[in-house]
Amino acid sequence: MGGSGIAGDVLSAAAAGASRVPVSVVKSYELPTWVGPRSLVMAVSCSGNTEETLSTTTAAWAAGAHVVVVAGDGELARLAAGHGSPIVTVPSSIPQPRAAIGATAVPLLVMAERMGLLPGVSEQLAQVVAQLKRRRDQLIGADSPAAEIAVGSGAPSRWCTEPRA
Amino acid sequence: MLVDESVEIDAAEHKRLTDKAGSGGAVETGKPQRRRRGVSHPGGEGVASPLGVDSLSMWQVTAGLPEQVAEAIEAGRSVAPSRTATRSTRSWSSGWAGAA
Repeated sequence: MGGSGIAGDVLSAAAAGASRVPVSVVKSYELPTWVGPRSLVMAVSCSGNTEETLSTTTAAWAAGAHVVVVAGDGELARLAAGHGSPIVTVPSSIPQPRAAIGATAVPLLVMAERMGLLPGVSEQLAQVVAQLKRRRDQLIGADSPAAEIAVGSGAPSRWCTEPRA
Repeated sequence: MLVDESVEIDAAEHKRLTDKAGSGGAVETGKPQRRRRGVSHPGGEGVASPLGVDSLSMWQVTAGLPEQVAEAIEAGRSVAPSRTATRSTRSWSSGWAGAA
C-alpha cells in the first residue's frame, strides 16, 4: 500500500520482462485465492502496521505460502517472527515510506535474483548506486543547476498530501 | 530496467530553465501568479505530522539513497533461502534452493 506498495510495483515491472514466474502485486485486504503452498509472498510495510498488508499476509500464512517480510518494527515483524518467516528490517530512520524505495524494493529484487528469476540484478543495482552517487554529487555541488534554481532564483516548491483550498 | 536514462542539458537549455524559474514560471503560460492567503502549511511540524513534510529531513534521506540501496542489497542477500521452504516438503523454486 502507498509508498511501501511501490516496492511491489518495481519488482513487478522488473519481472515482467525477465522472470519466468509471474509477479502479482496486491494492494487490498484480499489475498488471491490461487496463493498456496507453492507461492512466495513478499509482504512489504514500512510501518509494519498496515492493515491491508497484515490481512493479506495473515491469509498467506494460513494458506501455507512461503512468506518474506520487509517491514519496520511493527506488528508484521512480530507475526513474522512467530511464523519463522525471514524479515528484512526497514530502518526506522527513514521518515516516509516513499523515501524508503531503496530499503523496500531492492531486497525484493535481490531475493528474486537469488531465486534465479532476475539474473544480473545485483550488477545493475551496483551501477544504480554508482549513478546515484554521481547525481547526488552533481546536485550538492556549488555549481549545480539545482542549487542555482532553488536558491539563486527563489523558485517555489510545493508538496501537498491533499487538495488545499 | 535500472539504466541511466537521464538527459543531459546544454547551456542554452540550462539558461532557459533558470530564466523560467526566476520569473516564477510564468514565461510560457503568461498567467499571473496568484498569492494564496490564509493557507498554513504544517511543514514546520516535521515529519511526525501526517501532513507535514520536513524538507531538510527528506533531502537528507534522498541524499543518502545510494547508501540506502547499498545496504538494501546486503539486506536482501542476508535472507537465508532455506527459511522460506520450511512449510513445504519441496522448495518453492529450484533456483531458490540452489542459491548461495
